[in-house]
Amino acid sequence: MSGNAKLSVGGRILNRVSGGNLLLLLLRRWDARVALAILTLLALSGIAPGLFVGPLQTATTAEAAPLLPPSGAHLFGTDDLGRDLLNLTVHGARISLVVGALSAVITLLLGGGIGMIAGYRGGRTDALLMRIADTFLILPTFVLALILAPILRELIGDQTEILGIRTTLLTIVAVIGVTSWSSTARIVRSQTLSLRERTFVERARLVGLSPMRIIARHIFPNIRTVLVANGIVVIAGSILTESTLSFIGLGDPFQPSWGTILGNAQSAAAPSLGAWWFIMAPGGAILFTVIACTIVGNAIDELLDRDVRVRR
Amino acid sequence: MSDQRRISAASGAPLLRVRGVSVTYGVQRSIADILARRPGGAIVALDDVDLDVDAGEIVAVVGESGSGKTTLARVITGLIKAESGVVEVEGEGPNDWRSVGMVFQDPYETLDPKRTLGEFVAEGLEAQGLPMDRIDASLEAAELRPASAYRDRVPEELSGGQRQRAVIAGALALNPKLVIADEPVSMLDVSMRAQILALIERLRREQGIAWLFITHDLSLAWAISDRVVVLYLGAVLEEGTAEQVLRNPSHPYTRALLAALPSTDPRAAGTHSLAAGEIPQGAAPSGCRFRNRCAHAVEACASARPPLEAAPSGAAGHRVACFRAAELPAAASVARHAPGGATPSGGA
Repeated sequence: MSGNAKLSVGGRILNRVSGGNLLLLLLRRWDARVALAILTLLALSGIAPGLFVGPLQTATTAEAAPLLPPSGAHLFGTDDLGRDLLNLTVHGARISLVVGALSAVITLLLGGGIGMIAGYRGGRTDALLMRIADTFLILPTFVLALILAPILRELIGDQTEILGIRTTLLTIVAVIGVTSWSSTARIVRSQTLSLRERTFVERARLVGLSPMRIIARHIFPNIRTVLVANGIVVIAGSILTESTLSFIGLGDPFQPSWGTILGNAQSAAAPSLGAWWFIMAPGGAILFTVIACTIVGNAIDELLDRDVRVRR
Repeated sequence: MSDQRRISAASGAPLLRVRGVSVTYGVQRSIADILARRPGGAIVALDDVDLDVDAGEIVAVVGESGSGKTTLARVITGLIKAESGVVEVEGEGPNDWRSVGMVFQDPYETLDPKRTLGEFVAEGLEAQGLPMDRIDASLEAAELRPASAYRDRVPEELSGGQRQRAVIAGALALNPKLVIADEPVSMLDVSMRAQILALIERLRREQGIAWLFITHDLSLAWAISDRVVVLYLGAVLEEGTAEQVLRNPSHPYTRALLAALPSTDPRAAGTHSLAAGEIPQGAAPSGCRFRNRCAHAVEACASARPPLEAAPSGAAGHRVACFRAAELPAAASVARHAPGGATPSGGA
């Protein structure tokens, strides 16, 4: 526990099991190490794709012949327009990263906030919030996204940008966020319910700490790791949803995502032409990213379990 | 031991005044009960309880599990509301948190594993708008010296005794006149118990803090308290000074509790009838609530509830709720069970 942040007493909330601690624990597991390496590579690709593969190739800048199989010059082969698939796949990481991260943020803010309030307040507040959560829980994410994506695109317009992110992308993020917060809320609520009965929360109430402060001081720090684990699973889910939407043509047409490339492969009849690499590149990227997220999420869950076992 | 009490009693109104407090817990009905329209049951946790604690006094509330001890503590601190009755501290309702502190049974649970001792003590100060410079003084008053060595530590790094000291420091920070301690040493090693008891005694002596010490352990009550209140199924059966109640018990229940203490004299075993069975679950019996376990119960005990009246000993302040208290044989023989002298505290 020596690596903990020092604190000024009575000042800000500082927590013992900090993010750095969790990362160190994760790095002791080989499966989590591999998964974190994949996610780091994804993050780097998303932040600076040009560093690895140069600028994004378009139909006009593509130089190679169409549908070349993987070779030394084109590790992942080329698509039907002669674009390098490695180039497209690396550039596609940004979309997945943005969608995954933003969806997770929305889901955790909504689900975490509502879950903690419902669990701590209890009674009618809890009943009402959980009925709302149940309503969203039964909505099929994908079908809702399918309906909302074109509607929102029509309303806002294709080209509008908010903070440099095209609204079509935000639509996908919003839809994923709206449909996935409820399961997070349920998990957080159940954790909060058990924390609320702990003596240290009772004691905080006794000395007159307000409910909001109790949530900030005692509830949130004790469920933070659960939130992180849940957030990573949400990231995996949103990347899959985004890929599917893009695959059927509801994604952002101006920025290739892995789903868009898969869609292109489909319309170029890559499967029947035997151009397996056209599918392998984006498909493999999706596969490895989702598996990596799931491994990290599960590893955190297991660490939490062990933590609980040690303490009991 | 009772010097302090005499001084404080002279000042008039008690520090803590509990009058006629009753608490009932509803029992959740199953779906089958609701369909059959069976009414939900209720468990009376406290029934018309009176209790006084004077300034600087240590009062022990003793009883078995299920007697309502913890409910009483929670009512006095305001964590739960009484259905009826009055709880006053210095004549005010239970909203003036500062004058009542609380020490919980389990020091491992009272401290948030994610927060330092300094943050724990600061919590109450912040909520009450008190200056933060009281943190170190509170830690040191609870014998966590030097404070700088403990302020930034998390509970995981401390022993049970140190944790309980930290919990006491958290209560002291708010400058309480009364601290409710709910089984404060039951989770600690025997060696730690003596130290915590000595700390409680010292805080009373030096800061004039009154303690309501809740325990199931009569030898602890004997060691620490000026007065003892015996609670059974939510009602007071006997009260008086520790000497009166534990040396000269009048209620059959108090006698049974004392007789159940392990004796150092092997020949003494079996000379007293223990109370039969366990504390009843659910509704208390009619009339005297102890009658179904009492060897001396007669018909009158079933028809009316015995009031808390002056004990046959005639000593001031010694009161007992038993119709037959005067008829029962003198309790002198019980006295040898009182754990006098063999206690770890220097305070007794």
